[in-house]
Amino acid sequence: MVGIDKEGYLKNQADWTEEVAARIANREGIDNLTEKHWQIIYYIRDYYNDFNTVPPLHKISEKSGLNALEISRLFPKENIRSAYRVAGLPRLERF
Amino acid sequence: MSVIFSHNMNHQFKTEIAEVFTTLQDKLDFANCLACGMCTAACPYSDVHDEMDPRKFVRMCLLGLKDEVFNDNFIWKCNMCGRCTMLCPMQVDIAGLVRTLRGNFGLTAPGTLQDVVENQVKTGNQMEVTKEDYLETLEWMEEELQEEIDDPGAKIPVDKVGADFLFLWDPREIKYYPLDVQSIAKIMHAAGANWTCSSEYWDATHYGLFNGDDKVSKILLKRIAEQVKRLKVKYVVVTECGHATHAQRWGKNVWLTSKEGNYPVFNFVQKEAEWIKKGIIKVDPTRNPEPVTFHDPCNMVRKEGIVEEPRYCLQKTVIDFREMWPNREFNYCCGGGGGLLAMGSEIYPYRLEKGSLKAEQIKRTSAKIVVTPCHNCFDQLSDIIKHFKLDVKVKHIHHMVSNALVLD
Repeated sequence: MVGIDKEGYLKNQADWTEEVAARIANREGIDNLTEKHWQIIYYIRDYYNDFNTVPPLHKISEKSGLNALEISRLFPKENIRSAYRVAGLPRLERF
Repeated sequence: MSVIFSHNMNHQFKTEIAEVFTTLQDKLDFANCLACGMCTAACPYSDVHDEMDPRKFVRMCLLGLKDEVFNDNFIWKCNMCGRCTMLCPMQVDIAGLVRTLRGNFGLTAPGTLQDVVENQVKTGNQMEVTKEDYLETLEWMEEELQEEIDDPGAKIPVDKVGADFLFLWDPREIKYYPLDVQSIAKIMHAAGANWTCSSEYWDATHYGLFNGDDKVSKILLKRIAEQVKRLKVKYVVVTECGHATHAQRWGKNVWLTSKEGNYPVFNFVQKEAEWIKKGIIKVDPTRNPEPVTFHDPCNMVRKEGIVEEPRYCLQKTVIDFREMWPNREFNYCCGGGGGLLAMGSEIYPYRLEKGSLKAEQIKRTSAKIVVTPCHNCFDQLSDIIKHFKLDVKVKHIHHMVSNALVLD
């Protein structure tokens, strides 16, 4: 069983799969991950791999063609911070 | 039961503390403690955690029990909310005492707090937002606002020399919640405010307040004072953030000379209340029909006396406003204050135990929205809601105001 901590972060990053992402998403109040969700999730993961930090929201908007409100609707609980969790990123300070 | 050994007592200790105590009181005022215990009765957490006993802590300091003091969890686990001082007959500044001990005796802040302080000094803001990302986010939100209200005249001015006031952000708004930027800019636009942001130093938050490092605090405050001078503004307005408001208002009296700090500081909530009261902005409360309660941030309410303005905003912008009890300056801290929220995941269970009081307070109101004009409180309240499974959303005052705005 893959570990997710109390705050909803994946305990071991290497455990991330699309199924795990769906499970985390469920805890974040997202029943169904759509194509737009995946586009954002993979962008966050790639950016994190390259720069070891999270992408700024304006870049996510540029990349996905969605505005801030639309992004926040995709991740209703804590907006982009919940997207970082679904993408399996570790707990960075004040995510 | 603990024992006091006379050979451990160091009568110089209180003088050592007084020498480095940053306060507007006389530096030795904390030694006026009568050991009456009102502080422990006032501390919301003395019944949650045994070690939350301010009376005992102050006694240890005054008896000079150095080892006991520096090994006491109280130093880093106190939220510095100041409820103890409010009820103390001698006004002993226990939060100030805690801050002095944190920053002047070679201690390192636990968890990630120290890193946050260092980042803030190094990068100019506590979340390491680059200048490029900051400016692009403001531009982006300006465009989205123009689209939202269909008015190309809506602006987020940057470096406008001679504006009435300089607005300071919380980096959290820029990095994670740009819709907050849009919401605030919308209210500014509706009010016809003559405002500006700074492209250089724009972070209202102040982590030197939490780790107690006065050198850092001076650097951070001087940066803001320089922007005031450079942009020739009349005053500063701080975003809805409690500790930032306290640091920018109280801080300029202790860390800056009177010449350097010769400018007034307000919180955005005060401007919102003023604009509603004078009829400068029009609001329609039927746009916010859900029951709303209000959480008082300690730094803004108890320490800075901004008590009625947020309530006025809510009374005018929502239909059903319910006070939680106790409220105003008697309110309980959320459990995230004093830097605890920045201390990382290790302290998470501890601050959630503290949060049990707030969960109970919120539950009793049956409100669906809890409003707070503070980002630290916002995050702690979000954690509380998740942990205690409350059916409640957290919002800022500006969310309610911008949602109720009637644009002509």
